[in-house]
Amino acid sequence: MSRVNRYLRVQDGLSDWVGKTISWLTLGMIGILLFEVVARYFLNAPTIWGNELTTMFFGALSILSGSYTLRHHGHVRSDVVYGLLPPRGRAFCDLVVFGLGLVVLVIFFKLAIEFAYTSWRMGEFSNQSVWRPPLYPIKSTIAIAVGLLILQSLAELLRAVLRLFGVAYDDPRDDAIDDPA
Amino acid sequence: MANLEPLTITGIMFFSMLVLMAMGAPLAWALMISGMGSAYIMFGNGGLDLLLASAYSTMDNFLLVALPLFIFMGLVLERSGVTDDLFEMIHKLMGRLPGGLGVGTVLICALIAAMAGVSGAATVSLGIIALPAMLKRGYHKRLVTGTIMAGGALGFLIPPSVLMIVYAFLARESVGKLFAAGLMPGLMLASIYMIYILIRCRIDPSLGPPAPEQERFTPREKLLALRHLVAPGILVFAVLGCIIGGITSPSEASAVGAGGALLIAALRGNVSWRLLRYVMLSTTKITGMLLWIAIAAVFFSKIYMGLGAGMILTEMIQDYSLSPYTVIIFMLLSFFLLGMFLDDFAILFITIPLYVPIVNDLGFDTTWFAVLFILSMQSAYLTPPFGYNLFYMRSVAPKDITITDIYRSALPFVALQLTGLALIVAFPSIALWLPNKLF
Amino acid sequence: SQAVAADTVRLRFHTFYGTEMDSIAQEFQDSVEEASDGSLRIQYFHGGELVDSDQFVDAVKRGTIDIGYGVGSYWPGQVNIGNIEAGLPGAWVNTEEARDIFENQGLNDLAREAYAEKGVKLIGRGYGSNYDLLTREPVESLDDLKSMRIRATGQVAEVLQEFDIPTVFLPAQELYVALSTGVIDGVVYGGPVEYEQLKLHEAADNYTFMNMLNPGWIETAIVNQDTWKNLSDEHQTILREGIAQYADGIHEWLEEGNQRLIEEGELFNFASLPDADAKRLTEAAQSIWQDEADKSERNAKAVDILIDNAVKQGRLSE
Ligand code: NA
Ligand code: NA
Repeated sequence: MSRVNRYLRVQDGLSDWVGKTISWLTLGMIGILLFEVVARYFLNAPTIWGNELTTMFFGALSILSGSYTLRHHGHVRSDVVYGLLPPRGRAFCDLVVFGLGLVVLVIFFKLAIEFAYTSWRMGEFSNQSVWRPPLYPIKSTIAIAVGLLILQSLAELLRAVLRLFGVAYDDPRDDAIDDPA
Repeated sequence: MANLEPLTITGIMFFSMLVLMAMGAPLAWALMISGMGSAYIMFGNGGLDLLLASAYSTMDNFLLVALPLFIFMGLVLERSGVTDDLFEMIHKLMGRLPGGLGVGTVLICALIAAMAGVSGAATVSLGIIALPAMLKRGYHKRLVTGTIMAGGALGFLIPPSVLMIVYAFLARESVGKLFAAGLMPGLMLASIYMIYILIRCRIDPSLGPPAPEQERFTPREKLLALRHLVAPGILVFAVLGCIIGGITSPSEASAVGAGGALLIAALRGNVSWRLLRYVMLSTTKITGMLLWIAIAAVFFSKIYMGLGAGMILTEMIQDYSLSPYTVIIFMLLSFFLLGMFLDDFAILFITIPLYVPIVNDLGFDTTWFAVLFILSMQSAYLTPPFGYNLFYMRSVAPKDITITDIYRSALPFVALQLTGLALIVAFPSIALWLPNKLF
Repeated sequence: SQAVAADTVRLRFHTFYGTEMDSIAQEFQDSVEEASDGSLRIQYFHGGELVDSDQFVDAVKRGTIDIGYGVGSYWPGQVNIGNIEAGLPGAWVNTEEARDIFENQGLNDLAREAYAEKGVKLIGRGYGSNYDLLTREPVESLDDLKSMRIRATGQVAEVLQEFDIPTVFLPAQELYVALSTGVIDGVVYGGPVEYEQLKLHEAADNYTFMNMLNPGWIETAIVNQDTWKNLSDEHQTILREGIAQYADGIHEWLEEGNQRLIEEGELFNFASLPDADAKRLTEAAQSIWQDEADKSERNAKAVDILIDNAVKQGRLSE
């Protein structure tokens, strides 16, 4: 059992580490856009990279945050019916949902790998602005993000199985975002 | 590829999604699973790729950049201490008026709404600050909780608004135009709430008793209290002024807002590494929630449209030869019913791609329709059993306020919201006057 | 909705246009259905509805959609002849010349090869229309633009950049508000009729012909190779003709609309860049031609075709 607990702790730790790392992108976006506004409005010298780079930061933040949000139960669900079920019924539902979800995510992962690979191979670049940045880094984040989400989903699936069979485990899910309020 | 009737496809896709949601599946999961299943069975392998297309097109969108940044801004403001100052101010200025604190609470909500893009900021911070203060002074618990929840929901009608940004993304509207269109209806709704509170307290002063003699303040003290308006006022003007004054696009204005909120918090000595970390991580978490729903919902609707089922509503309207206004009423009714059970973003993603082309064909102004949608979502925040402001309130309210109290307190305000909605259906210029004037 | 025979072939046709071409699309759908006695049907999707326009090549190859109708400059990162076939500044000055370059001087053959390499088949061309500058303030020369912020993409942005004219990147749906409020001072996005559709004349009414490239863009229709092979000869012919009819319909609608607005002269104040500036633009564009030629052997051949043609027309000395 301790092995299971250790696994859950390591997996949750991975998702937390990813979340903490990508959370810096928020400050990055604020910084770039403020710089862009000053450069354009006050100096009449808009950058050619500001808006597109911010969009890339946003894209990476959005997709990569999926596993962190799942680790913190942050994905919205409706408990109108689910909440009425007994604990085991809920565990069963979770098992079905995260099981099917894994199938979808594995297909998604396979497609995302191809998507990134094709882009790397042809050295794809963007044609939206004269900056013309390469697109393969941002396209690769999809595969990474889906891979991370698969890993966290496995942990959720395992938890559902344990609850279904009434096996106790210590859930290290003390909400790690400490609220200063 | 199976050639199925649009009605069958609609049935399969929406039924499977609802079953999954009833099973407690996160919304993003329900949409992805039922979309993927439908793609595989009915669309062919090429349909699976649409999940990737949805992910990439959602990520590659400059409009949506404003989403995490307005959320960031709201979280900073919630923790900045601005609300404490504002409540102290209205306490000094309006405490002597029967129901005055309630009216003042609505004013604070409107002001926070003009700074933050989400509805949680005002509901949570006023729930923590104004709720106990008003209860202590003998205000009726249901009037107080209802006021805070309804006032908080103004957050996405009065610009800036995260919900409007996502709406603009889906319906190809201009964010700036939607922001302008939301302002007057937001102020109108705030006025309706205030009038309601004043009338109720005039009829029955025990609902919101005036402050006792010892809490009387001199004119000088009152005047001084107004200083608390300075910082929020500057922030509101900075964000909206940047958009209206042609300094920035709405996405860039969100960075100005986020930076400005940090500055205000810093000036009040409230920025710490702890706060910053909390805001960054919460922003990440909420962004993950919203954007994964967006990706999954865009995928779901692409599959639905790709299967050729999108015209089902148009056909029904033709078959039953409904009048244009009847169609609008049915749409609003669907928003209201869905709002009892679903999240606002879920309703947005499921209905808007279907409704907007129809609204357009019927010859209505799509900006006006967007405002009707946002107004309907305010009610969704208050209607039981599923409503975010109900949950926020429950999480901050003292134990002697039961969930039933909270549900019941919301009802009169929902009725007021519907009144506001009816006014805007009848007089579209309430919403359209400002954007036409400005742009 | 009526029942459909099981052997009916349905094709997903995805355009990059919005709803403005709906009546032309309806004619296209109707004529295909009629010519095939209902055995071939077109499911029509607007820009962005299923896949983004810059993903058409990939989506057609994988069969997510059967036919993509877009412009090569959306995907030069994937098919590197894209910018050349969409139109390099100075490459042609009217529709007849453009048509001749594609159909008789071999540009279509090179493009067909390039698309075949990516696993899709080129089956149609559309010849766009005016693509010029719209600004809040009148523009009399290129130098006036140096103090303006212009929203432009692709090759046009590249040319403007050569003259130190700042270009801004903004999504199309923000153009109206950004122009009204002055976040940007001008756009290069389309012709008069497109600006009218977006109601941009309410925000900026100075239309300046740049005399750089006309038609300002060329449209490309590509089809999935398996889809194409599985069609009967009769269906292939019907589809080809249908697409050609759609492309011509769009071209005429744009040209007529532009002509009407230019003649009425009410919505926009029309002006042209001075000849000297047009010449400077064309000269500056030469370095862009060179950049494109350097990208591959095929691109070099394509640029040679453009150069030979320009020499023949007397716009370029040997
Ligand atoms: Na707001
Ligand atoms: Na609700």
